[in-house]
Amino acid sequence: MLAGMSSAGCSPLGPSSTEVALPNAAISVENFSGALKVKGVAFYSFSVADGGTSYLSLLSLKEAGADSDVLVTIGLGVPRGTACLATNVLSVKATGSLQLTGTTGPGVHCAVIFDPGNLTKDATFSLNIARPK
Amino acid sequence: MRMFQVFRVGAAFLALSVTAAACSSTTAPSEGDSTITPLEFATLTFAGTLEAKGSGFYSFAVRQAGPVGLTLAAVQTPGGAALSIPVGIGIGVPSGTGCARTTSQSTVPGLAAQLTVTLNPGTYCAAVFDTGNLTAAVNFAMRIRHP
Repeated sequence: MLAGMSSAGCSPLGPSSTEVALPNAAISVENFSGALKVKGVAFYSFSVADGGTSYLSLLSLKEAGADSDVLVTIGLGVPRGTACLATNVLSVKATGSLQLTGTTGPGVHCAVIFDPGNLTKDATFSLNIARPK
Repeated sequence: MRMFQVFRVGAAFLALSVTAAACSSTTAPSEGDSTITPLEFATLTFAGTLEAKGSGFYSFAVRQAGPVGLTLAAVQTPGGAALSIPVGIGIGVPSGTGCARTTSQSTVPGLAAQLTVTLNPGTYCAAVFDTGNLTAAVNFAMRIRHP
């Protein structure tokens, strides 16, 4: 199925202009959508059974309902306390392409998005998480 | 044929018995030989504000299999007055934007753990949630003791 999606120019993470071959044999995609306040943070926890590489892709970012091209930070980590302890972060714009990859062993992990100070208005976002099953 | 099989099983049992007897007579355990690792516990404090109909959770890592205890130590008004209102506490696994509880109960604050479960190593979450008794936000403090 992944091969078919790649040949169609559409990765499991959403539209892309180039073919992307994902190495994991069994991948699940979860969508994390929500609100991101100015200088705010949000995270989403997910479980991985067998381990492998996970991928993040910021599909959309809207400030006050309008598409925004400011940089926000996305990351992968583990849930600790009331936050996501990110070990791998990257500043990205909402392009919809594969943006951040990280090794996720068996266990619980989290994807995080936060505003380092670039948003001028509260925003909404849509982030795809492709992870090993 | 059947008798032969019975004999073989009996012989095997006899051999095991002899082996076990030999082992117990030659390798008596001593204090210095113990391979049992005592559990080391950590205690975390999860404190915050719980809105009416709201919930919150705190993630933590269990390093060794063993008992995890939750103690709802205090529920107070924002002004600091102690309350004895039951609220929900639970243990589960962080999932999505919340804590997928596998065990939970309603309890009032106390000094001893109100909820104890045995968990394997991994990442878990302790949750606090309003079971419908709150009419306004309260402050809470919960202790999480885990190996």
